[in-house]
Amino acid sequence: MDIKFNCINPNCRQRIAVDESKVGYSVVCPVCAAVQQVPSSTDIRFSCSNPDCGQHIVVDMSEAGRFVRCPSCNKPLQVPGIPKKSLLYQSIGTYGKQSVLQLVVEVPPRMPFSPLKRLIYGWGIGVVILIMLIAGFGLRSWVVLPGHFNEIVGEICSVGEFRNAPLSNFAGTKLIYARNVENGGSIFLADLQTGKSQQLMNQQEGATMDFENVLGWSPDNRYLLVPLRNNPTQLSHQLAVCEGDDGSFLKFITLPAAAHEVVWLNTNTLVVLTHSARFCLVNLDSDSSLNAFGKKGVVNLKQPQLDRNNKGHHWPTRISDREIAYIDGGNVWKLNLLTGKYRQLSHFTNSTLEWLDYNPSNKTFLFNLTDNGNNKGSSLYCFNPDDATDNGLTPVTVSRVSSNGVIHTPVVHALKGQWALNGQGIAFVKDTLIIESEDTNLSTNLFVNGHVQSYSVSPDRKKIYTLAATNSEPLSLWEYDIADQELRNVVPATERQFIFSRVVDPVGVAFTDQSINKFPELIKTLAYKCVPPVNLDAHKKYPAVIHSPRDSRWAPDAQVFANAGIYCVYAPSAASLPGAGNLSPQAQAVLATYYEVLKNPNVDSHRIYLIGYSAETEKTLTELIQYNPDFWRGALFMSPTSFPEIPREAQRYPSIFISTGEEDKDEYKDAINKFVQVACQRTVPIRVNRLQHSGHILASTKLLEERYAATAKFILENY
Amino acid sequence: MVKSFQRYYFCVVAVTLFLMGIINILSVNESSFLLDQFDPFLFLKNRWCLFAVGMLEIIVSAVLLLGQRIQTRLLWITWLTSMLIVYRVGLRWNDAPNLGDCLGNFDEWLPIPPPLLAMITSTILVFCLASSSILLIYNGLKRLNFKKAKPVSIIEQQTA
Repeated sequence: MDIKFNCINPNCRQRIAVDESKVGYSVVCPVCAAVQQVPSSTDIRFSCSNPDCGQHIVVDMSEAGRFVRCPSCNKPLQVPGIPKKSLLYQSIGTYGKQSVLQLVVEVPPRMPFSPLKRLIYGWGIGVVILIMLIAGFGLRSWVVLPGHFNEIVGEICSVGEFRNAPLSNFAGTKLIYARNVENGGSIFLADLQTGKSQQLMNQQEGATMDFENVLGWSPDNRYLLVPLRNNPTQLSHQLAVCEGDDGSFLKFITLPAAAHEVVWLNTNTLVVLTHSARFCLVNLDSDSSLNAFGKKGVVNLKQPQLDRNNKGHHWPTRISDREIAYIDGGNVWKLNLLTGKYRQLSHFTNSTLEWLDYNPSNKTFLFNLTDNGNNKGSSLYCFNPDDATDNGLTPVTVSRVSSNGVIHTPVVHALKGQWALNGQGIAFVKDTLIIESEDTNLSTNLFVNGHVQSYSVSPDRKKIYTLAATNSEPLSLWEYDIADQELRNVVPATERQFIFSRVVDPVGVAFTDQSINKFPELIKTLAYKCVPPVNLDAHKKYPAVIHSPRDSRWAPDAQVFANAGIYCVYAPSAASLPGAGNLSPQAQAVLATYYEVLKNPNVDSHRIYLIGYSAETEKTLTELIQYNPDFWRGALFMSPTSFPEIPREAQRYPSIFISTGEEDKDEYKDAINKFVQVACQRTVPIRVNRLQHSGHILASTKLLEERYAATAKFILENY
Repeated sequence: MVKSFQRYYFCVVAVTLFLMGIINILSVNESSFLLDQFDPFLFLKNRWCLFAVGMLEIIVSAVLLLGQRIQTRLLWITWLTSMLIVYRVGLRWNDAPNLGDCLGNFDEWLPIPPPLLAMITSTILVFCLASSSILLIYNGLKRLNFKKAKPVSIIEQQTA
């Protein structure tokens, strides 16, 4: 029996007949040559769904699923076949041996719930997904952070930084120092016999934390002068005169501008250098011997404004009860308070002078002199204005015994030279604290394995009080008796030992700069310092943070990072490097370190971050990100002053973390806002950590804790 | 198959829009200065724009869950997603920040980097727009086919 069907080509429709045995075979249309399969049945038979009509309809198999009109009632009907599921048919009888199907009705899908239930379930699912999302991120954060993370950061940051070298009174029984505390900065009075400290006053965290400069005792130890800070956002014009023994408040002195430096002339009179770069005289009581300048209270001195070099420091130093010396315009000047006249003592040209000190026994000054013409750095000099030879200058030398005899070498690149031992010795800082005495037995070199940040010589010039560390521990206050050669820790950095965290020693790594092919002038052996993560697993890779060079072995940020499982790397000093290409020496040093850090098998090369504080953001971060943003997983801007430009089509850009004080300078805040806006335009990941009630420099240990915790989280969460 | 797809499709789109809407609304409370800047098109503070978009997404989500008529619901999706896509293209064209993509920058509880969030959001919007448009066209064509059904007499002539 033959199967008859029409050609599938709609333009042909040729009637084709093939043997029944050819069902499923491919055949070619004899007219149009279209290849087609032989259907098992060729006709579809059904009836019109109109109950009043019921017309029997026979159509070709190829019309399955298509719409046709009933030839009787003209009702549109869908030919059974495709789609099968959307239509329901029911048998309405038989035609020969075949069932006759009728399209009954299009059934809409049944909704399982009522509309209100659908809404509740739908939104419920949304809420559940949101909670799971937030919980997932929280869980991820919890997993990547080390155990007791908050305790670790709190412990390390609780070590309040000492703001400057302490000052002792003339009797050598009391010590005054400034230190960061939980809510800002405080001034403390320490008893050197008992070792106990009492908090004199506290300055709330604010825009200005310049509270450590003006501290001093009157020569009779009767008065103690401390700066008053009653407004955290601006420097106060007032000084507080306190009782020398217990620090109890006595009275205010109101100055024409905020005080910057103070020198006591005698028990009644002091000279104050204000932030407006002018001197004024303060008499606690009237002094007729000072003539016109002897009236009680503040007396303005008629004097031209001093220069603003060296951050406004002029190092006024006492020559006698009626005379002071100071540095201005690269020379030493003398001010006579009886006549009110100024006299230039030195006549150096193109020089910068720093840290002036006077020795009344031989009428000689001591200072650091930098000859700006020869670029050799600063050297320590003695200067006698009455000596005509060599402009009165004598370079300070240190004597060392070697196989060739005693060698005298000039002291260069040293900081803060001060007279000691009543003029028979000199102290200065050159990496370590060096004391050079005429009695060679008393010459010494302190804190060789640690770090010295600052120091002061006691008024009797027999002891040294220094802010230093003997190793990698936090800086603390030390007393060194030069004659007895005794060193003791007078104010420790921490009151109790760390429980959750560990102090990690920095490791020095020497290397040869790999960029020498590109910059041949940089063939140097450098050394970077690395603070590795605690419990370092040799099979694991850790993120790394590259920092600009730092002298101190102790740094709270590095210790937080190390305890959180992050490598902290300090680039070598860039002082000896020339700039190369578009990069500054600092940036070049960091880049050389980056290439070296890549070789460390424990460093994840895809997670290397840059960090910079304040001006470093301009010198290193901005330059290096613009040099090649692909190198860095992220950049950490701490109190930034400058930002790189983000290209319009930035395909891959480092994630940015910014930590800034809410009371920082307006220009910096504007720069941050602009950068954040551009970052959002370019879809750059950026996080801003705004610290409340703080300026450019942080003092509060609580705020530091917040800053470093946020920074470590940013790195570990890999945002 | 298309019908059952549509059934689940509306549920998925409704939940997604609700999620996007609630995240936008929760972000309104953040303290970023960008939220207090004005939107270049809507002349509203970004904070209120986010809120408005979030509310709109939640309303459409409710319509999708409560509604019965397929075509109406598809039209809602097409309208909302096309508006959002046009808005995004406009922001991009004007080099203005799209806060919807940068929520991770100021929401600490949603640490999704902007490039990833932008990709997710764009994919969702394009998928919703494309799928709703296709379904609209499919359903429209189906109706059109129904109306334009050819007379059966022609076929009967051929099958005769």
